[in-house]
Amino acid sequence: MNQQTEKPLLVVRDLRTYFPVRGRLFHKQFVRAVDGVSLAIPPGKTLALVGESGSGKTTVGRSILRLIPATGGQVFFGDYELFMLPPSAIRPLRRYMQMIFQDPFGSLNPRMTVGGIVGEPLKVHGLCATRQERRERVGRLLERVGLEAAHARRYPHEFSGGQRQRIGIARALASEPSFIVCDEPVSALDVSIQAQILNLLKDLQEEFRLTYLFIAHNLAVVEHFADAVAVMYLGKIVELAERDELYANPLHPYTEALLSSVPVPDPARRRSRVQLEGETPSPINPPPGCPFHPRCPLTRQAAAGQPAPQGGRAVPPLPPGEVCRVNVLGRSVAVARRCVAEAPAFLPTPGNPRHYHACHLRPQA
Amino acid sequence: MSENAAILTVRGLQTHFFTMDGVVKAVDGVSFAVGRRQTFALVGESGCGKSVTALSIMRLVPHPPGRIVAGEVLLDGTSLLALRERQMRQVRGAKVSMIFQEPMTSLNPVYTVGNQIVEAIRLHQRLPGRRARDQAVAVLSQVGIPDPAQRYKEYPHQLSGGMRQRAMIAMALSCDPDLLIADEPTTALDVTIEAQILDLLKRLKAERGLTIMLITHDLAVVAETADVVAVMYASKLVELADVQALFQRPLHPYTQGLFRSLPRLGQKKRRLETIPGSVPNPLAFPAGCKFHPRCLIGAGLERCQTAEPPLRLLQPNHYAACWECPGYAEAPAGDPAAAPIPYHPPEQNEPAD
Repeated sequence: MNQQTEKPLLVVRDLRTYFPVRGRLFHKQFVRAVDGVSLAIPPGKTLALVGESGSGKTTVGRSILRLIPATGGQVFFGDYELFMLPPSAIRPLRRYMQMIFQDPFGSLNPRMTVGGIVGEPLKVHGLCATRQERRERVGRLLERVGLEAAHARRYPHEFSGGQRQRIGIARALASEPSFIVCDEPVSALDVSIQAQILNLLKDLQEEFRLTYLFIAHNLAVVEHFADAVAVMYLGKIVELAERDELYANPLHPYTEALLSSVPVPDPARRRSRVQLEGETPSPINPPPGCPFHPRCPLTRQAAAGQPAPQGGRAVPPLPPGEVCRVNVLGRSVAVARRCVAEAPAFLPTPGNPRHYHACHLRPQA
Repeated sequence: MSENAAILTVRGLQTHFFTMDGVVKAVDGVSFAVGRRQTFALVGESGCGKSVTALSIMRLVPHPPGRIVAGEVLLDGTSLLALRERQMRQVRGAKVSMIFQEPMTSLNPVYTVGNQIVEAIRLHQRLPGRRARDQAVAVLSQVGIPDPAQRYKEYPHQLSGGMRQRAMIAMALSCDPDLLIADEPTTALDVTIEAQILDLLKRLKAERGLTIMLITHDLAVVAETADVVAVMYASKLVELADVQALFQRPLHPYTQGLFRSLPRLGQKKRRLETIPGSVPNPLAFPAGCKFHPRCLIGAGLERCQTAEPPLRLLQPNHYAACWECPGYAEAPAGDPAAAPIPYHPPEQNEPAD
């Protein structure tokens, strides 16, 4: 057993968040935005949650912080089980769990001064005895994130996107949290500004030993930033591993497709990519079995007994009884029967107990 | 020498916005030429003027407050800025089309997809309704929309993001234009869908001999698709070269900084290098070279602070605008609008490891 050296700061077990949608009369339907997500983050580390739009990654972050009521599951933050606590007990804990948002324009109140925005957590949690003390602390926070103390008197619209994101970071830091959910913190920013914000987040993590849940869709950014990576598809984690392991040895075909879809900034290496047909299906009515099977290149290769395409690794061909046909985008496609019949379990690989995936066709312990 | 002929020439283009706070020079003297069947990428960060350049070529700059105050745009020898609005409408769609970043806001929500494509077709071609319909279904099928006859009857909200962008491309191509201007065509899309759309554009270029002008902020997208690249910063071009040269030897400090701050797959630096500061406010551009306050080389140099460097031809087919580039003082000015920069594909694609 590869024991983790430290007790995780955050543990999520079987988190489920469903949203009701209008269905037929007496037939309540649900969007299973998050459907059985489990993860753990050790203190001072970063777990990246990667997925495309609609995969449920933002809902995971918000459910953990109880900004959205979860349908089921458990979240342990230190010694507290968050979903069991009454609202009155959650409030003092919020000081230690903060969030940085994607949109630096929508997440700051335009009618408040920067000082008011950054000082609000201090006020709410009663962290400063006097106004003077609060003003000084706000000034120090602004300087720490690369702004000036004098900016406290200004309003958000006077700042650029990157500067606003710094204000959002200062607000999140104000209450001295230990855990921050970073929800796509750089995807709205220009390239030259992205790197500045990523470096700032990294420095702050080292200085204050922050634990991050880093929600992102850009795999190149995540590789620089995260210690471990979880890949989500249709409300479920399909693969979870330490960063180097995931990038060097992706096992789930969706992770492989995501990695090969990332455009490479090198014109001498224009590659053909492992292409995924079609788009993410609706989470109201996800495909049966493995939700990825209609788009999965691996199950098609296994069913056809074909060799693996460029870059991918081969899977053993299946006996004819193990193959069935499904309709995808109006065409009949041969896939592995198991992929349609049963949902794959989320288990570690035989060689690496810390590399989890949910694919029928790859080895599992 | 038809290979070397420009389909689009932009010379000295200046587009200004006259606002309450002052004149915003969104495009301030931009010149370039796009060769037939090339993919020409215009790269820059938000607010650099790349989209306004595209809108100026289409003559779609909102007026007021915007106005093209100087310059020349030649499409296949026709001066677009001299045309009457009625004549310009004949050009849009038939000779040059444009697709936008957000397909939902550029499609009309109360008409079916097919309806909107047929409208475009019948604006330019005298066709009976049934033939126009067949042509619309055919073009939907060409852009890879499954079950095109069904999709023809659907409304934009019934399509997913990737399908909407395909429908936009179908509409843009329905009258077989020579030039397609794509303004951030994949920015709103997920990576797997982005890969599909970029592949589609490459295929259409090969099949139809299309020329594509790609407006983007994403250098990786440029590397995957472009032949020639123009880098724009604060309303001006700062570098112009073919894609291989630009990515191997970027000359302008801004381009170099962009490359350094780019997170790349497989290159695990714990810290990214950055470009300090942020993009300047177009109402108060710094004097001299507009990049000098953020420049690692020029920040303290008097010439960079006082005089703005023009684009010069530093190497064959490689322009840059920086006083401190090696050889800049002796380099000829050149005319980036005189002829398109030829694209030389690499001798041999290195095998991906």
